[in-house]
Amino acid sequence: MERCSLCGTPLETEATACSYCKHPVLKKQRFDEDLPVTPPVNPRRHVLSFIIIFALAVGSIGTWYALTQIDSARTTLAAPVQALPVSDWSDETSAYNQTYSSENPPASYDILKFVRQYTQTVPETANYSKATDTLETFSAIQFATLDAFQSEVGALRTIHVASDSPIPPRLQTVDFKRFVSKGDSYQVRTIETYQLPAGHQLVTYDVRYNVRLHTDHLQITHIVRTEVPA
Amino acid sequence: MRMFAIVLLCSLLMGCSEEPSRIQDELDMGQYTKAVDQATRQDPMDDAAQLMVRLETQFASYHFHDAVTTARKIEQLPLTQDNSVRLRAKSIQLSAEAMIERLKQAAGTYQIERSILDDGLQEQSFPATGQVKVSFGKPHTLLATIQYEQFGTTDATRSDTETVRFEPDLSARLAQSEGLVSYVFSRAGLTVTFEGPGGKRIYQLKKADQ
Repeated sequence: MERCSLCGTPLETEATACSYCKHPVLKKQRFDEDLPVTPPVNPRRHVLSFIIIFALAVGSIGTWYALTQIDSARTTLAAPVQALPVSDWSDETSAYNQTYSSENPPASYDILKFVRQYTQTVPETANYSKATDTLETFSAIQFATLDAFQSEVGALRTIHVASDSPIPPRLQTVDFKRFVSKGDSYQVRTIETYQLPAGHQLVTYDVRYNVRLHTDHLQITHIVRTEVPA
Repeated sequence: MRMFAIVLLCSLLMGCSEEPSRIQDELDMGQYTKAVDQATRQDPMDDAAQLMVRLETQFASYHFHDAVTTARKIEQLPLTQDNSVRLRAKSIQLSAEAMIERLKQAAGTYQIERSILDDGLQEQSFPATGQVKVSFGKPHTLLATIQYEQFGTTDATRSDTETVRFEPDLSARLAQSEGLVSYVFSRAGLTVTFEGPGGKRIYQLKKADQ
């Protein structure tokens, strides 16, 4: 119940002045009548404010994301990039006994390394003789299928003729020219130069390799070797 | 006003939704040819994948100067600092530059400092003479030309030129008719070993201009 603010006499509901001291009732709240009349709601304003709030939210999320990116860039800078260990990219570790899986697929450099290490077996393959040699002892078999090996024996005739000399031919250069993936297989084209012992003569080949992942290891399935005239 | 707000919203959304690369997984695993195979020309990482294939073929061919050039091109692509392609290219560049520097130091004229005959039972020094000149090729950076000048035992010297493919650890082994010749560069100089039926002749050579 309301009371007079001057003398404390209880006031009647509709009274405009105190019944005892006649003090006018100044701030008597009359909620039922004094409720402010709300203006008609404009739906366009709702859409606009929604858009502005949304834009602000997107903007702040974007800023936050950009800041985290700068942060991670800073951590990278803190650990400077280093040169690769030589054993990672040279032929120090053998490539033919590397195994791969779907979680650990061969990186493209692994394929190049595999082919480069195969080329080191070529001088030995050139000396293969069906009559006297056991196939299994040849290193090339570790890298290639039997069909590929046999096509190599035929294609390496020039080296084979020259290798009557007791000094075996030597691999001199391997230049990788074209390297592509076609689904599950890889195609590598190289230009290879071998030095023959007789008068340091050079033989150059244009070679196309097909390499694929055979269950868990790499295998050369097809080789086309063409001699390039000097 | 309303139109302006919608345009503003759209442009904000466009800025946020930069098209992600479909081939990032392949790139992260170093499968650059697979990435090239799967990417379309519109893929934002297609250029990076193609350049990585070029870089790796040059690096695997031991064309270190070309590899440095390609790695610098990759560095100029708009890639984030921690992008796996950028990091791999930078590592290859540093490796190639380190090799070029090592080869620069290895090239030069070497003179015999010590010569030892090891016949399996004992080691003894023997008189030897001569020098070798070593230079490395381009673009085949690890292909060395070794020029012997009046080199060997005093009664039988050789003066000829040999082309030798070195491995990245700067060593080479060449099969001979009876035995083999090995070359090893180290900080101290160059060691040339001739292995034959009569034992090993080890020549320890030191750079002449040092």
